[in-house]
Amino acid sequence: MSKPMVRIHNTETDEIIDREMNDEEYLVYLAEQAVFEKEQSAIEKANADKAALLERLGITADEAKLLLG
Amino acid sequence: MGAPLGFKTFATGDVLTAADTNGYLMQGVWVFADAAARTAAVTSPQEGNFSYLKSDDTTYYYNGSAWTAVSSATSGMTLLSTTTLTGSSVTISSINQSYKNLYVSITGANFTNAGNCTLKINSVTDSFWVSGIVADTSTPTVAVFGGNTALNIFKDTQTGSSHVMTFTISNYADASYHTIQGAYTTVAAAFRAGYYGGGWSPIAGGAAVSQIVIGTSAGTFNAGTVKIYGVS
Repeated sequence: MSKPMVRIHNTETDEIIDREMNDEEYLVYLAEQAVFEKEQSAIEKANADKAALLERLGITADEAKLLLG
Repeated sequence: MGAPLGFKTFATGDVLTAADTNGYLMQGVWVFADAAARTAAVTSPQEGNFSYLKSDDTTYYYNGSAWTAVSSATSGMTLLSTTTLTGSSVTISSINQSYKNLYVSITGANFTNAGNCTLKINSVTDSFWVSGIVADTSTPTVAVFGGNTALNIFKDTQTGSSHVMTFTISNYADASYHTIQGAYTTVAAAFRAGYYGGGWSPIAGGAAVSQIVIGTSAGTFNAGTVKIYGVS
C-alpha cells in the first residue's frame, strides 16, 4: 500500500518536491491519526451520553441549560 | 560576483579592467524573476550587493551571509512564499530569517476527510501549549488546541470548501521560545470559528523557526493556499 503524499517547498530556491512519506514520517502520521481518532471517539461518546441522559430525563438541551443556569 | 568597490571617476584613456567592471560598473540593483533565478545567476554574492525580485516586488541587499529585504516605511509585511496545499502535509522550508514576526495566511483550504488542520515547527512534532475558544455552537467552548502536541490551527469536524486560517509567530528568527496566536473560520455546512493563543516551547530551550509543516489529521488536502509574510 502506498503511503500518503507530502509536499516540500524550499522558499529559498522555490523548489517544490512532491513525494510519498518516508518510514519515519509515516510512523508519526499513524500515531497522530490514532490520537485524533481517540479524541473524536471521546467527543462522540460524550455527545451520545448527553443525548441519552436528556432523553431519560425527558427534557431538551435548552431546558437542561435553564436548570443548570 | 565582485564585491562593491564604492565609486570611481574614470578619466579619458583609462583601461577598463575586469576588476573595475565587476567592482564598479556591475554594482547596481540586479533584477530577477525570483529567488531561484538570483541563486542561479549570483553564485557567490558579496556583502553590499543589491537585487530586486519581481516575484515579491522587494529589494534585497546581501549582508555577508544572507539576502535581506530592504525595509520600507510604507510596507510592514513582505510576502515570502506562496504554496498550494496538497497531500497529507506541506512543508515550507528555508524561511527567510530577516524579519521580526511571521504572519501566515491559509485560504480556500479544503479537506477530503473531516478533521483538524495541524501545524508543526521545524522537525519538532509537539511542544505547543495553546488553548482557545471554539464557536461552533451557540455557546462558545474553551478548547485545547495543542497540549504538548502538534497545534491544531483549524479545529473542526467538517470538510467544507472554504476554510480560512491565519496565525502569527513572534520573534521567529530568534533562537528562543515563541508565542503563537491565530484564528480560523469556515462557511461550509455550518458556520464555525475559533480563536487561540499560546506558545511553542521546545524543551531544548527554543529555536529559530526556519520551517513550518501544515498537515491534516485525516485524509488529504483538496485545495488551499498558504502565504507566509515577514513582518518588519
